[in-house]
Amino acid sequence: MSTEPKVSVAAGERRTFWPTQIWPAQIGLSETQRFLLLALFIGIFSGLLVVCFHIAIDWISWTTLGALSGRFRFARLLSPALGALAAGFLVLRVFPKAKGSGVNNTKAAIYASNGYVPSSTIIGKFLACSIAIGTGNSLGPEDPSLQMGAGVASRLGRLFQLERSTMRLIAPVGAAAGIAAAFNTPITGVLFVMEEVLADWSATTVGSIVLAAVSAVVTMRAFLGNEPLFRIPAFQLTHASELLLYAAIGVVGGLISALFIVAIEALKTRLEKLPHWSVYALPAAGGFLTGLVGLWFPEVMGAGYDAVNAALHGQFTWPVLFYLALAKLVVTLICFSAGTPGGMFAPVLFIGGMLGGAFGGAAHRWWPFPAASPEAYMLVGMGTFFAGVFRSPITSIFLVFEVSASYVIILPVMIANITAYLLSRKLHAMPFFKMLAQVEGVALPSAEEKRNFQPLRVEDAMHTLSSRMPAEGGMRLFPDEPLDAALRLLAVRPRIQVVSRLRADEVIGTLTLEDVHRAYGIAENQDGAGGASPETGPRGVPA
Amino acid sequence: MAKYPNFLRLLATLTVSSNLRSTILVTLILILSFTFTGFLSSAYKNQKESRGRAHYDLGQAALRAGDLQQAIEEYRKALLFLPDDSDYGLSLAIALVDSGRLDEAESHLQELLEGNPTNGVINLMLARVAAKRKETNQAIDYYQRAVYGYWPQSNISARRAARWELVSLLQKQDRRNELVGELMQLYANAPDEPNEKSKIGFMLLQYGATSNAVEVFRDLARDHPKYVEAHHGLGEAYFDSGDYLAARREVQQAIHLDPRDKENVQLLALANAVIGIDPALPRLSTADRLARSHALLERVLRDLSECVLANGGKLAPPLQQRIDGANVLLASKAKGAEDYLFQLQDTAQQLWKDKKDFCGNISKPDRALDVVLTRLGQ
Repeated sequence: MSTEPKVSVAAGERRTFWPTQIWPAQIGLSETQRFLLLALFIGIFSGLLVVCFHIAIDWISWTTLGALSGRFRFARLLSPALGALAAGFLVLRVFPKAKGSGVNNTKAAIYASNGYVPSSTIIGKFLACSIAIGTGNSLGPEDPSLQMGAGVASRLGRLFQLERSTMRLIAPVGAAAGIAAAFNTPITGVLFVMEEVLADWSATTVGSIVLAAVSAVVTMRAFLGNEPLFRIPAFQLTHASELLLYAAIGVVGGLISALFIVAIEALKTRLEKLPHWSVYALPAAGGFLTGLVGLWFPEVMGAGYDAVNAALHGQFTWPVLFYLALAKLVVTLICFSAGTPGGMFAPVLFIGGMLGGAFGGAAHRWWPFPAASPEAYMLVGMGTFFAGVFRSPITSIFLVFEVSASYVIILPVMIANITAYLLSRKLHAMPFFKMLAQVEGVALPSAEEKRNFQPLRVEDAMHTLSSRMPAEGGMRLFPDEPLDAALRLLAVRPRIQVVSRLRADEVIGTLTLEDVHRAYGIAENQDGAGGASPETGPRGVPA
Repeated sequence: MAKYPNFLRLLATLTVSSNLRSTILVTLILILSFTFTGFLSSAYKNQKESRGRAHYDLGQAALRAGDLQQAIEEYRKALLFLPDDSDYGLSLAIALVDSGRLDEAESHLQELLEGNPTNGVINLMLARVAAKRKETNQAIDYYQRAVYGYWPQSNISARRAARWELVSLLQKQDRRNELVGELMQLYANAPDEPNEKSKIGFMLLQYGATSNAVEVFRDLARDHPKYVEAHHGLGEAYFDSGDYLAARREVQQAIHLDPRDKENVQLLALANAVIGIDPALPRLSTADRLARSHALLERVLRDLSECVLANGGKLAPPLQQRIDGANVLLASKAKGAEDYLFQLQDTAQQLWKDKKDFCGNISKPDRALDVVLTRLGQ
């Protein structure tokens, strides 16, 4: 019997037959391998796009602001306002789908549009954000890069006619590539997407995300060089007592990051209520204010990485660092809330870094024990604010580790970041991106909430038997299995035996549909059925 | 299988498979994108380089004009465009060190050092930073790394300058042994430059390394016999090492070359005076030594008496006893005994010390006597 594929002459059959049958067979690739190959393409394209984006921002910045000092004072005042006006017009009138947070738009594409990100979003984000950031508005390029990466992935996925389920997976791959190339940190890119964008993943997804992130960073480095995001001078931790200081930074970072989220929420909500025409004026007003602040503190303009590098090299005294953090916080709050296109990652790192540096400088002066240089505190400060605002503690730790390439920083960063994360979460439970989505009227799942959600298990609903019985044949469940899985079996049989993992022939309880309802809190509402007595009632469910 | 020959199958695949078409399309777009981004990034890099260079040149001009602050600003801007350029980083760091912004300078220098740990200039700058912060050990460490580090052939003299800076620091810290070691290293690698060699020699003399100084000045005098400082230095070195006859010879040579040099004239007078009274001078007979030792003690007693009279004539009983003992010794007849010679010299040294303690600055110093007695004490 021949295995030769049959070439159909009917046009309708060609599309469905050839792509799945001949194409993989021709080059011997499985579906997973194809997906990985596509991830490679996505990474390279995203890397190229980020290179062009980076160049565009720099070029616009050189043209409009010069090197941020001296004779460009007038340009510095007006450039952000004009840039924000142009960028705002672009996203409001020409590319409306490019409006909003890149992370949330990517999540929306995954959860609501089967991974579909319109190609116009890529162009819109590219143009609007490069103009807004290049002209000095206090926003960063990472979030747009993430969305552009997702857009590239989506476009390629459509080109290769991926199935719907695969399309949903392809957008995060592009997102990881985009953010990894923008930060020049592959691990951070991967972790952020896994921690914030996707709450659950498979081996293939992780493999693709890693491959895309690595290829994007390699591509980016091939064109722009292996220049790290921050140029970290050598430092060392000097005294064990310093860990207290780092924990204190965590407290400060957590507190300010929670306040920052609250302030953005309040301001955004208030601005949303303004008349419609204001959406054009608000970015320009935010830009003007940025320009005004920039007359005294030009360092706060744009993404601000140059200023962070300067601060890392001890250019500013600690009071100046504090003022810079404060100024950046204000202008970022306004620019972002006003709807100016751009991301929050760079400003968050700036604010956190400057706050950390100011804290470190003060500690150097007043702390009775030896303390590390303020630069170490800057790094830790970046991590704490990142963890506090974005609620991505693991990403924040690896971000600092990756940009500093220093292992000595890892312990302080872990202490400070987790402190900041927990405190911020305590003070303002809603994560940043979920808050943004809510303000914009979109209901997107939060990865943090998904992680924290503890699904009910069989043992939470089952009736525990007072004495062990031998198991009968047929369907059975283990106590640690999810309750959702039990529902499928309960559709076939009214009562399922629950057996021990250690002794599969021993029944330790039983489960019925009523038990499941009760565990979910449905039974009482429906018919008021009492369920089991406290002695025999389901475990973990209040009687 | 036979129904579809391979080429037909491939043709069919190419024309029919949308995925393959997509792959080819994507590959073409990728090639175009690479080319475009390549051109773009090349133009971008050129632009960065030219902007960076322009700011660097402005910084250099500002530095030449003495505007250190402006130079720093321009160097910082240059580094914004080319943060990897070590020349820009180093220029900024040097300007920062000069302006006293040590923390920032150190930060840049440490970063540069990571990429080039043996660079002499970077280590020298770090040494200066540490020296300004009074971190002496750290500074010495960096100076030594600078001295043994890499210097471009065009700037090789800077290595010596770095060592001189180290010598200066050691001098300030009064670390004699390290200083002498560094001076000898300087001498070993010195160019044929008599002024520098003579400077090394005099510094060795200043820190009591007389044998090293003799070596330096002897070579110098041999290589540059007409160089006055060589003979003067050698004279001083011989004098300090107790070879007064050789010292006199060299000083006479120096005076012969430059008769107007008062310092040499004074040194010659001193050498002659010492030679006239020194009982330890070579090739003296025992009788001469005895006579000179006798005369030495008499002279000490005379000086002491003058000093005591000037102070009102009151003496502490122990000192009076020692003076009486000296007079007894001078009057004794044990001139043939070998111990007598040493007794005379020891007593003279003890009384000279007493005189110094008792008279302080009142007494007029007798340099030759002091030199001889100090030398005998050694």
